[in-house]
Amino acid sequence: MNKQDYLLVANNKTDFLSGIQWIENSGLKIKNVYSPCQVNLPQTKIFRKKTIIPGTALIFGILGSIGGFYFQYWVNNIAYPLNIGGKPLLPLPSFVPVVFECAVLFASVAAATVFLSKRKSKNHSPIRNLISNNKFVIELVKDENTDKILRVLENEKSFNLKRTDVSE
Amino acid sequence: MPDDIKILNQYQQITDEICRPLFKPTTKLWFFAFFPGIAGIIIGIYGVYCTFYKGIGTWGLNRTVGWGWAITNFVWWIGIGHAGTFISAILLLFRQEWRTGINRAAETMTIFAILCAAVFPVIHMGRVEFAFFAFPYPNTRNLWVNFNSPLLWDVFAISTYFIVSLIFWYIGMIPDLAVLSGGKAKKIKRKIYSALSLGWQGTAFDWKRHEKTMILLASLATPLVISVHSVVSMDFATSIIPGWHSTIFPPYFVAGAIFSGFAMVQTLVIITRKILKLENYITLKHIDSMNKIILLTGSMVALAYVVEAFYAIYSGNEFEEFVLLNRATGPFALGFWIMIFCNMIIPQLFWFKKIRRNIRITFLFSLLINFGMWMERFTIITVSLQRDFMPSNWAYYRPTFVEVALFIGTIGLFFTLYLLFLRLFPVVSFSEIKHQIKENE
Repeated sequence: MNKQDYLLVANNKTDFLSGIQWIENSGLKIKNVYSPCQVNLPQTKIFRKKTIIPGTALIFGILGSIGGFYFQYWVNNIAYPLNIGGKPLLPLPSFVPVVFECAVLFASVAAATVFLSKRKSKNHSPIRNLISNNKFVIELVKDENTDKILRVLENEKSFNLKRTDVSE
Repeated sequence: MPDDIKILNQYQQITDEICRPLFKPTTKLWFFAFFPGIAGIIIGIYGVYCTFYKGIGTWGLNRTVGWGWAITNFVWWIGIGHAGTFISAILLLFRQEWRTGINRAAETMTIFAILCAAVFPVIHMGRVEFAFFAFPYPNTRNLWVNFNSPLLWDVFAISTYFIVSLIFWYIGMIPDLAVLSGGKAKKIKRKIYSALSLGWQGTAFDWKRHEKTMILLASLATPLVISVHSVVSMDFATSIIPGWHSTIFPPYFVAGAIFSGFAMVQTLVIITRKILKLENYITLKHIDSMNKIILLTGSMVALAYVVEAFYAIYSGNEFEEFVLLNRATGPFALGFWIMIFCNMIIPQLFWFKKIRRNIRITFLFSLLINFGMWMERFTIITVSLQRDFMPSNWAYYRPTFVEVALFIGTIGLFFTLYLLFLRLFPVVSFSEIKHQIKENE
């Protein structure tokens, strides 16, 4: 995070959500929000970012099933066609379990890889200590109006949102 | 959030209470459970040593019983592993909030149960150094594995199941690990937690991606629950052995697996809540709900027993009829009736709310069901094999000390790993508990 940005801290989810709504209505720009648990946020633009995880899983699931099928076909018909008691070389029902397992495996590993690879290495970010257990944090982009608007916010009694410094 | 979780909406307090065992010195109660586990592992290592040094001739297998205790134990452990994925995946998709207190314990149980299960087919091969032959890989012999064999489907199914369960377990734990990395743990532990949390920040987008991934993995893992034990059942059902060759086996095995898995989860969570003093998080409601699932799946298993017997009688096949009679009145009849008592009668007592909510009785019943399900696998596998088509082949099967030692070894391994887990990682997902709190605010 940028040192010039503001951090607003709430102690519970109700104040956090009220604060987000108030800030969005007041025209301030939210850079990010942090919470110790999953929160159902309002579906405004900033929180509507799409993720490629489901799409990736679908594509790799399809690739896995095709790959699983082709591999079995190749083994049974091309690499080493083995006649066992006149049984067919392309026994489709026998291929189903392996095709299914390959699809699930590829899709799961792909989804997990995308999820894990997008992690940023901010292991020692000071903001992490703030959000760790029990704090809900709103990170604001600072501009010329931010200070004025925040002063109004501080007088607001309906919810409790405190300005803080990241070094706290 | 379940009504009877008697906690205040204090996020810090939840973290502190759940993580308390990670920062406190090890208790006597923990050691009391840990040492028998280590002793079990040592006994198991002796069993493995005998098997490797002298071969599987040290086992009690004979001309008819080619699959004895080892495969019985394998199927039993795989079955136990099923409840973890059931609780994690299926109950997550159905938005069953009560899963939150027990899902981590169940997922952990799955991982360790699959590890224990994997021991048996590997050592059963005799030449363990060639265990990798089970996987298809390019080789100088130009030979490939047989894709028509259920035994190979098993290799694929169980490997996939293990990998997906491991991913699910780890990704679910990342937010908690991030909290631990900034907590009261020692510096080295904090560094490990920090590395494992992979820079989790808890941003809105982090949570969104986390939820998407978990739901997606749950959707993928759900059919796995069905497929894995169906495939295991096909190891038997696709053969022509009377007592095995039955179309009812896949659903029968899946219901049995969930049934035995839930019994093991009960055993574990009752021990866990006692040792770690987590009565506020693993509540009577959890135990009651799990008992209801045990009742449901136990009834399905009971129905399967009846249908299996009906098939044998109605088929008019004298060999099938003989297997049924042999199970009920033959040399292993005691095991059969223990199975009937533990798996058909005991779960039916859970119709009574007082019994469902009694922790001591539940604990006792969970042990009995575990025992009964082991007997079921023994009855299906070994008793069906023991008297084959030629009476001149018949001999009594008696497990040797080596076989018993291997089984004790896996039980020791399972409990040792689980107890170590309790000391190193939070056994209840506190980020999920916090999520439930906010839902009711």
